[in-house]
Amino acid sequence: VSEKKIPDSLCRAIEEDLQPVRPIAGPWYRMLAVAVVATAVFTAVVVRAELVADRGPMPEWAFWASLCLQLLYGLFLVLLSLRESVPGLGAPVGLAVTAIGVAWTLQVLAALATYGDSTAMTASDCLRFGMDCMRNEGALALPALVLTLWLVFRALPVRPVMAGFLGGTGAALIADAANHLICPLSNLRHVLIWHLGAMLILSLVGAGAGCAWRLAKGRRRT
Amino acid sequence: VTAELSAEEQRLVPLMVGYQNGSMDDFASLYAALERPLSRYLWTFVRNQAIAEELLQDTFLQLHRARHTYTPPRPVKPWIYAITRHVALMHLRSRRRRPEFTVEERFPEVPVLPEVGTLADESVLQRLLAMLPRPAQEVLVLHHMLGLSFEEVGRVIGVSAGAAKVRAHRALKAIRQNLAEEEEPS
Repeated sequence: VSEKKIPDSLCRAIEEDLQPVRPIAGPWYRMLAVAVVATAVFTAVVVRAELVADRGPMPEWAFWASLCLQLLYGLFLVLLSLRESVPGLGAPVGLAVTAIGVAWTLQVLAALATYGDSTAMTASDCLRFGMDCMRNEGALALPALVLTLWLVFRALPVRPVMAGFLGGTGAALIADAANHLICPLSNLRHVLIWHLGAMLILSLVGAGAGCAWRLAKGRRRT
Repeated sequence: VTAELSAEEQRLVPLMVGYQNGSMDDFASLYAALERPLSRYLWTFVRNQAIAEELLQDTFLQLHRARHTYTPPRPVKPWIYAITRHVALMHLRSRRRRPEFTVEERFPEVPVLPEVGTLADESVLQRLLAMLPRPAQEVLVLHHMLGLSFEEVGRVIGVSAGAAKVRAHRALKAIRQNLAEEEEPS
């Protein structure tokens, strides 16, 4: 290697801060940390909350299988988000968009499969139950969402909005799996509006965090 | 992974590990090995030598801040080029907000594509290359000039290896077509 002279200002900046660093753990290991948190939240709901899920026409095994599928797919999206946080390791745009599309399709299909006129309710009841679900989903998503975003943004996501969106959608799926256990309604309209609405909001929170991170970095640079 | 690394990667990985362990000499060797290819790549974004050199410093600073995100023994080049691209795109985004920075000038050291090097003289080919849209030019520079595989190019620009290959093929076709059109009247 022919030694080329490094500009003085760059050389000074590097020398001032040249302490050894430990490489971050691979995306799989970091995803395991999120998996532990997600499992803890899910278990806490199973153990402590009153399980009032209205499964509609679904057999019990299918109900639990769909929840496990939601959890695993949520963790898969978290993994994609964590890969996105390492330069040169992100999934191709097509794969990331497809993964998000599959998540939404799965949610809609699950809603259609569990459709039942569970309860005859007034409009104000609908709103009350809907708001409860949205609040629960937000609270259940918070630990996984915060941990995922922290893990993503302490690295260097070169597509922060995509990374945030993937992380937000993953956390939302994980939370929705737990929320299904305590949601007393399988009514199609309720699931489509309130559960998918919560998922959209959480995804947008992730994307918004990515946007804010990029703006903050841009400002620091200028 | 190590067995599959190219000769160049086998040289870069220990340098990167040494740099992560705090060795200034290893950073200097990395700088020497990457300064020219990264400048060429940056030029495809800004087409201005002075700005490309300024961005090169920004790239190495960014690389320094993010050096913990490299996990050995993964290939170093896709990681470094992805950071370089990030720095260039951040610059272009800020330039859109401050258009007074837009300056066009010719970079004298853009090499000629080996595939088309025999078709016309260097200046014509450089002009045709500069006429291509940035995404097409980027793939050509990364693969044909800087020697990254299509898989690595895909990792850098965030598309699949197949998509990168198609993009490069179309870009080469466009160059040949433009060349044929220019030669037609004579």
